[in-house]
Amino acid sequence: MERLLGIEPPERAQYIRIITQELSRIQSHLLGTAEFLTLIASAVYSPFLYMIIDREDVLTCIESVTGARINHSFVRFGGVRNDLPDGFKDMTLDTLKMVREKTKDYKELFLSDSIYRRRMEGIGVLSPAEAKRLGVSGPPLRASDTPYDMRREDPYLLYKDLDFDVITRKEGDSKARVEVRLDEIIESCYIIEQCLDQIPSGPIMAEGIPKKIKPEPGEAYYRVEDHRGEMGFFVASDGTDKPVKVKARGPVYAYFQALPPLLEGVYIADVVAIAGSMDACTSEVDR
Amino acid sequence: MELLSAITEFAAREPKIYGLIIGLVAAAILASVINVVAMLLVWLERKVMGDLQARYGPNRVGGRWGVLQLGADAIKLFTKEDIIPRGADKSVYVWAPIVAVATTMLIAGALPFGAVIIDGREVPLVVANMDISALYVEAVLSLMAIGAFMAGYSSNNKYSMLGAFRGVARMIAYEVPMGVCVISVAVMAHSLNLVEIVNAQQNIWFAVAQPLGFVIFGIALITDLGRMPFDQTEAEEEIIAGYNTEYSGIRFGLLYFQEYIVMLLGSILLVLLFLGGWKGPVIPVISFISPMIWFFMKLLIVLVALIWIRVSLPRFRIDQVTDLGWKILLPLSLVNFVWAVAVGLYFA
Repeated sequence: MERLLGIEPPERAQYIRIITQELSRIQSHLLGTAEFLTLIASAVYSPFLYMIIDREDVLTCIESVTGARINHSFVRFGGVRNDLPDGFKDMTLDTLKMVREKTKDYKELFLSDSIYRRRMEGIGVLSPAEAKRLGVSGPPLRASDTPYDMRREDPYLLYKDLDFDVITRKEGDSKARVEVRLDEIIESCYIIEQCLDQIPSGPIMAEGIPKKIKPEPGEAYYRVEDHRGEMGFFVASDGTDKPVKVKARGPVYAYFQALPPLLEGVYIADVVAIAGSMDACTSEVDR
Repeated sequence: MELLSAITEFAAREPKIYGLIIGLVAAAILASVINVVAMLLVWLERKVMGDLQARYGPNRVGGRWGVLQLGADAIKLFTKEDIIPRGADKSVYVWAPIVAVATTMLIAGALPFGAVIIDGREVPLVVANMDISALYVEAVLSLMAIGAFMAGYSSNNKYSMLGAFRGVARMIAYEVPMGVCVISVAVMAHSLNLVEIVNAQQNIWFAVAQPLGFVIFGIALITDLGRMPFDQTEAEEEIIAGYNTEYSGIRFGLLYFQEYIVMLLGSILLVLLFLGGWKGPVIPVISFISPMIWFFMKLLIVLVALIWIRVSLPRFRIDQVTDLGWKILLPLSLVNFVWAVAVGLYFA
């Protein structure tokens, strides 16, 4: 939309957007991994609940900025609604430190758990070529040895100024997909810490945004790296205040395209190990 | 006193009927005690699980500790609609929970539940003190799979059927190493009687004398109880709820409860075979019940360990379970058997 209007949000607003986006990436990956664990273990598997507890702290950070826990629609055309509250930096740094330590613990736990490894290693191997052909993106694609990340491929916001690694794994199996997520949590912590260091003071909304938005006729497509992969928004305008077409391209639909070839001829127990490791949010499929 | 003498007279006149009556009374007492303890066990499990996972667990019904939660659950299960699915094999479906609980209760008859000291003599608390009780318990443990298989087979549901298949495959794979472990213990104790086996552990527990057997028996026991990481028969993420998918109301309650009864009895068996049963130093003032105290302390530790294992391990895949049973545990249990025979001969 901003691309269509030709507005550039102020730098501080862009940093705030990055911070909230990375925070929600952390919480999403924590929840995704936790739910995945209930699938290969059971609903009473302890690390599941520990991750939910960790996620709660991250949500508190998000809530203090946006006022909502998960569905914070607080991005405005040309900026963001709220500025960071007082003490946000300290609180977030503490939380990130905790998250980073815990995530390292989880990684160790999974590496040392022989039952976990028996269930996960070599299960549901998605080859890089196959993954690309089916349109899979995000952690499952990166687990298949393809360093494809919108933050790097088509840098939006201020990601080009930030230092981060694109996490990849060679194996392409279920275990790799979970490991990519856990590593991305740590990487996101690093990104947020940089943002908190670099964030300048200034306005959080661009000047001169009209009350009623009437973009010029035309189309715009904008891609971001969602928690689950490449997320694209397409907007077409005919010059009035109502869009002709708005289309959101979610990453999860493509995950489900990848499932039938992966699930062919596997054990029933592996179905959950494969489908769960995709972290496919069913409600996101149908947009 | 009059009543007592009347009973003695009756016993002398009609020994068979007297034995029958006494047996029935003992069985009734035993069944009710086991049911109550198993109910407490459900509560204990939920509470311990809560503690291990930074949650509260039951904390509303029956005061701060939620002790009566199970009562509330039982009332709910009793009043729920009892559904028999279309196309189910009705009589088998109805009998399955009853068979499951009944076969489980058969174990209880032969298990000693601790002992008390009367006149400086240990009196084991056991209903049927038969010569081959260890073998009997082992045999009845494998009967349990029948109840679950009936339930899964009769439900007319593919997930139930899968659960039933898994149950039987698992039972066959683990009954063998388990049986070999029981025999190893019997070789060392020179008896298949559980009371004798406990008495043989006066000086050294069999868990110490044959650690390998203890581990194998423990794993096989968890498998038999169908608890994590071996709960493939009702893996809710894979096959809904396995063999009890279609059950509701009190029939489900029975199947669910049966698992806890087995858990209790299985843990008792483990304590008796490997952890020295009720043996322990005599506690001075309350020497009368000191064996009971030791027995329940060991039992509690085993139960909490089982709960701990449940919350901290992921689930095996069913083919990995049978692999483990046939390819690893069975050869190891035979090694343990050889060890038991060698050591037994050396000390004999």
